[in-house]
This record gives sequence, C-alpha cells and structure tokens, in this order.
Amino acid sequence: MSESFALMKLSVLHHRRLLLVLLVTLAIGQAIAATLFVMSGMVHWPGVDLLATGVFCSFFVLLPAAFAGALAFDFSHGSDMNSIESGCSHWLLRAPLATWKIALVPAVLKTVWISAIWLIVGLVMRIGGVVSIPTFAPCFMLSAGVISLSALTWVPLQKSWYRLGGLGLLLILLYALAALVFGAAYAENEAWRAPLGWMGLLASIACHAGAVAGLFSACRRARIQPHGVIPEGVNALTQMKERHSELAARVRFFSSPQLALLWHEFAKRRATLVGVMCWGAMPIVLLFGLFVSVSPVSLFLLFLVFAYVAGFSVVVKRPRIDGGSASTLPIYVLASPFTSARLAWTSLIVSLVMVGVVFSCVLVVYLLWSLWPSNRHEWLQWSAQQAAYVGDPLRTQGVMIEGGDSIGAGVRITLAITFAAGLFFVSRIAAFQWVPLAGRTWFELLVVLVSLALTMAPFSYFLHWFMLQRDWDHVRQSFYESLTWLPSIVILCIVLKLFASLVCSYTLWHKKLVSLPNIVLVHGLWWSLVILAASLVTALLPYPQATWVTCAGATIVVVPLVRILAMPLTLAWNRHR
Amino acid sequence: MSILHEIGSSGLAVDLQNLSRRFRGEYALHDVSLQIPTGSVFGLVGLNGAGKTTLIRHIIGAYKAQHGRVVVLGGDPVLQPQVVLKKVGYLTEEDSLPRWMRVGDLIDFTRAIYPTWDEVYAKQLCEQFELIRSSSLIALSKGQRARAGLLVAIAHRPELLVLDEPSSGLDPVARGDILEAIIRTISDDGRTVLFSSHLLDEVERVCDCIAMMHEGQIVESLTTEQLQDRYCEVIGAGAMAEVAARFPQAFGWRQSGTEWSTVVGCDWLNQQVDSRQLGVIERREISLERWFMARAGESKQKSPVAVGTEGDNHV
Repeated sequence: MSESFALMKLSVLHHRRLLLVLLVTLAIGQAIAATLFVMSGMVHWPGVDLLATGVFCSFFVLLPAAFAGALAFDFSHGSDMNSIESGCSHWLLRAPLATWKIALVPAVLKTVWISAIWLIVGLVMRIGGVVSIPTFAPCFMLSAGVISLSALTWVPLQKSWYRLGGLGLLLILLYALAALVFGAAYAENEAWRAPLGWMGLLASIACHAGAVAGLFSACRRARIQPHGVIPEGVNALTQMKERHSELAARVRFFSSPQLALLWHEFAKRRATLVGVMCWGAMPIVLLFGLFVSVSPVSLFLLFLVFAYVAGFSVVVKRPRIDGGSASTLPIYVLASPFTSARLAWTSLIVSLVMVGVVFSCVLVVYLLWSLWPSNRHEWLQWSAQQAAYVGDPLRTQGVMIEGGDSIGAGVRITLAITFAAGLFFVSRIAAFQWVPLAGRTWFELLVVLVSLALTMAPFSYFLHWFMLQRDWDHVRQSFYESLTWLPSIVILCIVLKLFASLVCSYTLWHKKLVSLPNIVLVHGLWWSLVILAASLVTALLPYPQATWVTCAGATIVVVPLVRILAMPLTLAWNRHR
Repeated sequence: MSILHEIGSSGLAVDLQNLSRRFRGEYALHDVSLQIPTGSVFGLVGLNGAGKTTLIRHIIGAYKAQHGRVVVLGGDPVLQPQVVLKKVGYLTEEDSLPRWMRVGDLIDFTRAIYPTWDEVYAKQLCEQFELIRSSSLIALSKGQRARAGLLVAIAHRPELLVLDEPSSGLDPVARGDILEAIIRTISDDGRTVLFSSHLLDEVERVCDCIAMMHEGQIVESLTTEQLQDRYCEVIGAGAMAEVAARFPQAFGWRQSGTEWSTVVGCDWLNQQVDSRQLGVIERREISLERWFMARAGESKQKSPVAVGTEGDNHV
C-alpha cells in the first residue's frame, strides 16, 4: 500500500461514522428528490409544486453534507479552536511521511467532496429550473474555504485568539470571493459579466492553490516546532505572562458542588460555543440579514439552518479508549462523587443554554431584515393579511380592525412562530442528548437507524398512497378527513409518552439513580414548562383555532420528557461499564 | 488464610468477592477475591495485561461487576458513587487531566466537590510540587501534570487512595521524595492506599501487603514480612536439570554459568536435614523482584522442573 493511499484510507476512516451517516442520508434524500422530479413530469396537482418540493428535499440533506466538508477528511487531533497547539494529529506529524503528502491528501479529498456536492446542487437547480448558477468557480471557492479552515486549525500559534482572528479574515475573503463569483452574472454592464465571471474563476483557483499551500505550511510549522505541536516560546513567554496574570491566578470559591459542575461543563464547552458563533452563527446572520429577503421560505430556511448550527454546538467530542471497553467520560469526572443524574442533567442544562444562545441569533437576523425597506414592506403586507384573516370572524361580530392592530397581530404571530420554532428545534436537539451519553458507537448507529425507520415508514406509506392518486380533490378531501384523526393521534401520543415516562421514572428509582423527590421535581419542571409555553403561544397567536388545549397538546408531544429522564440511565451505562 | 485474618484488621477498605469480568469472551478478571484492610498500603503487581487496571476500575466504579461483589469503604461505588467516591482519591497513569484548565481551575473545581478538602494541605502541596495556579495544564510537562493530578487526588485527604501506575509520569526525584513520602503520610494517618506499579523496589519500600496478579487472577497475596518468612532464594552449583527433581516445590529457576538459583519455601527448606545434600551452597533473603520474576515466570510458562502448585502457595 502506497503512503498516499494509506493516508487517504486513514482520512476516510477517521470520520467514517460521519461519512457513513451522511452518505446514507444523501442517498435517501436524493432518491426522494429524484422520485418527486419524475412525478412532477407525470402528474399535476393544483397548489402542489412537486419540483420545488424535490429541490427542497435535495437541499435538506445536501446542507449538512456541505457543512461536514469542513470536518471530514481531516487528520484532526480533536483540539478546539481556542487551543494554541496544532489541531493536526500529533501521531501523524511524528510519522516518517512527507509533509506534502499529509497536506495534500485532505486537500484533494475535501475538494472532491465539496465539488461533488456543488455539482449535485447545480444539477438539482437546473432540473428545478430555479436559477442558473456558476458551475466550477464555487467548487474551487468552497473547497478553498474548507481547506483554509483546516490550515487554520493545523497551524500552532502563540495565542489562541489568532486562530479566531484568522477565521474572521478568512470569512471576509470568502464573502468577497462569493460576491465576485455569484454576482458576476448580475453586473449592470452586460459587457463586464463574462470577464468578471472569468475573474471569479481565476480568483477561486488562486485561493484554492493558496489554501493548499497554507495547509502545507501549517503542517510544516507544526512538525518543526521544538515541542512538536506547541508554538515556540509559549512555554517560556506565555508561562511567564501567566504567572504574573492576576486574573488567571484568582481563586474561585464555588458555593456548592453543583455550581462547580455547572462551571466545569460550561468552561469546557465555552471554546466550542465561541467557535460555533464565529464559524456558523455569525456568517449565517450576515448571509441571511444582508443577502436574503423576507419570505416564508427564507424564514423556514433560517430556522432550519440555525437548528443545524445549534446542533453542531452540542456535538460531543468523544475519546476512544480501550476499544470501547472503558467509559468515554474523563477519568476525573468518572471518579468524582457526582451522581450520574447530576452529571447528565447538568450537561443538558449547559447544552440547552448553548443551543438557546445560538438560536437567539435569529433575532439579530430579524433586526437586519428590518433595516431594509423592501423587507419592512413585505412584512407589513403579510401582517395586514394575517390581521384581515384574524379580523374576518371578528368583523362579523361587529369588531373593527385598525391599522395599528395589523402591526400588533404581525408582531404577535412572528413572536409566536419564532418561539414555537425555537421550542421545536431546541426540543429536537435536547431529545437526542441521551444518545451520546451512552458512549457507544453501535448504540448511536442503532438509534439513528431506528429513528430513520420510524420516520421513513409512515412517510413511505404516504408517498406510496400519494403516487396512486389521480384526483386532487380526493387528495384534499382525504387530507381534511385525516385532520379529524389528529386529536386522537395526539392523545394517543400523550398517553404513550406519559406511560413511558412512568416506566422510565420507575427504572431510575429502582436503580437508585435518582431519588423520588428529584423525579417528582423533574416532572414538575417539565409540566411547568409545558403549561408556560402553551399559555405563551396561545396568548400570542390571535387565530381562533389556536386554543390552549391545542397548543398544550402540541407542546406535550414536542417537548421531550422520557428521553430527558433516560439521560441518567445512559450516562450510568457509560460510566459503570 | 487471608491477610485480613493475620493482620487482625478493624475493617476493610476494599472487599472484592468472586469478582469476574470478561471482555469479548476472554476473562480479564476471573473469580478474584481480595480484601484490603483499612490503614494498609497495598501493592498490586503483575505483568502488563494481568488485570490490575481492570480490578482498580471496578474499585472506582468505572466497571460494574459482571459477577461477584465489590464493596469499597462499606459501599457500592456503582450504586452510591456520591457516597463512596467522596472518600476515594484516584490517580491513574493516563494523562487524563483536562488540558483546557489552569492549575487553579482544577484546584477550585476539586475543592468544591470534595467536602473534606484541606486548603492548607493543598497549598503546601502546591508549593512542594512547584505548581503555579495560573499555569495552563496544557503548557505543563507530563511530570508536572502528574503532580497536579496527585495534588487533587490527595488534598481532600481521602480514606482510600488508589494509585494506578502513578510513577510513570514522575521523574526519579519526584518518585522518591514526593510519592513515597505522601503514601507514608497518608498511611500514617490511618488511611488506606492501593498502589499498582511496575516499579518493584518502590512497592517493596512502601507497601505493607502485596498481591500479584496474573491472567486475571490473584496468584498470591501476602505481607512483606510473610514474603521473607515464607520464601527464600537458594543458590547452588552444577547443572540445573540434574538438581531440579530434588526441589519439588521450587519455582523461578535460573542458570547463570555454573550456578543455578531458585525460590523455595522456607518451611520446606528448614525441614531438609542437610541442604548441602541438595546441592545448595547459599541461602539468601528473597527480594520482591526475585519473587515477582519467579512467580511471573512460573505462571507464564510452567517449566517441567518448577512443579510448585499455585494452590499450595496461596495465602
């Protein structure tokens, strides 16, 4: 086996789990999209744009794959952006391999991955007839971006914030390049469009070459440092500064072990949060706030993108120890006198705070959107429509809707939608926090497969039924008929959920993982949250259909309880093997 | 006869009964029963893969007993980690401290979770180990990190200190001046130390009781006094193969030039009318290292001349 091939194999194996999940998801998503594209040519239903649905379906799975391009095929060491040491695998840096090979293999694989995703995007957009986009320049541009990210994480630095600063510069450069590449086709002077397009392509190629050279340079620097991976001088200069830093030397007294654990969990993940905010949230805020106009689709995409970014903020880096026979918890945590429940739920609280912080960036996008007159006009029109819709039943009762009421209704509905979307996505993220706590790869894969099967089975059944339909009125009638079943389904879900929560609570108590008062406390907190959330949404939504019972039913189904109760169980399973 | 009976202990710090553990069908621990008396310094020795770390992980609750029972300081470390682990200090050979912390952060965090934390002792140790609160753990050398780990393992004055190969990260000065001194201090306070190490001279100097593990079993456990009372090394001249049959319970045969040496039971040797008839020209006190090498060799490869049965030598 040649060195390059061995390195290639290593880079794939390093993230094989992520790649496997992404490839399976990509395949399923593209298969559904292709089916919808084929169907769009065969059947026509008024009000249903199968082509657009297919494009959405395709993008839904392409987006995480594109994000993953930044992580995959990298010889990462697992260190964070806040670290001064090289992020490249220290073992690999010490291996008798040529530096150019260590740098080139991830560069090539990342380019291939990103290019393949972009080409699928281009193909899907061409089939969907959405808009014509450049083909090759973005491949180089986006690849340059992810390779530069690797270079930034690989280079050992005197100060950790240099890395974040470099990231900011990189983002500015990429924005400028993206403006050139994508904006060339829209230049006012038509004569400039072709030369600008070529300039964009050449600039992208130059950036790509620069990024590869940067990766090589970072790798070379990481290898020749006196300490291997830590920049020269850090042990002398930085330590001297640290010794004289009053801030670093201050003594912190925690009033309780719980506060100490809370501090520990947050301090441990602080760098991840900063990274996610700088890498993910802020670029998306700028992208949506400055380049995307207000519409239901853009709002939905905004929520979706922030759900992904918030999800990334709580991804747990897990060490592999003893081939999976030992706990994946750090030894000093494992041997600490905290109960498994305390460890699990403290981790959840910190995760929720982090997710909340990331998701609250949606409000910043709203602020940026409100700066554009066209967006304000669009939103006011929508508000007036909603006020009119809400007002119609009131008018029949003799109540008049004033102009100011339409803004009020718009604000209330916007807040309600944002809160409900936030609650939904944060709940989804919280609902899967119990899985990585188990510290077992096979278990995580099993949960993913079962979840996919549970989701895909009803969807496949619906798709099969849908493909057999030829009469749109019958489809609509069936849809409205099915809505009559919705309350029964929700009640069934609630009953099942409460039964499962009782079983889980009993198991926690029986295994002596949580005391009875604490189990009651968790249930009480959960019910309080549900009642508060349902009351808030009911108060905000002016629609007559949004009754408290409806909102409470939806909230009970959405907000996880059983899986939160299961967290101490999985953590104890990981801790005491 | 167990060490417990001989020492006449007032209680047990660790009590393992018929503990078994399998990984992928292979026994890592097989029917291990071990009692560590309160106040003793207990050394656990054995070759790599003997099961020492697996046994220690059961004691700190990282492994749940598949078969058998684990009682540490009167409680179950799996069922009651918040009770048992408060009284246990643990230092492992792995460089497992969180590198994102500073020394001060580590001390502050550990102080908050152990109610018995001794601030004066912690400061004293900090000075003794030359640790600076503002230093990042990532910027410390491996030895310095090991010292930081030792500090937080002992500054809460644990009733049971578990050290799993702690010396691997320490230089000889630290080993001699710090580790042994601390183990002695803790022992003098009436606390218990479980000390797993490859460095046999260290174990010999520090430990009151020693257990040897091999292939997931306790081959033998005894006190350091018992080692001398029970075994001795004999040296003779001539060919080893010719005299081996005269020593039915000997083990750890060695041939060096024209001399051979082996380990025999003192009682058996004393019963012999004239040891010179056996070809013995010298009888020596046995060192822990000689006993360990003999035991390890016996367990690893049963030679036709080393016929001593394990059962006979059990305490």
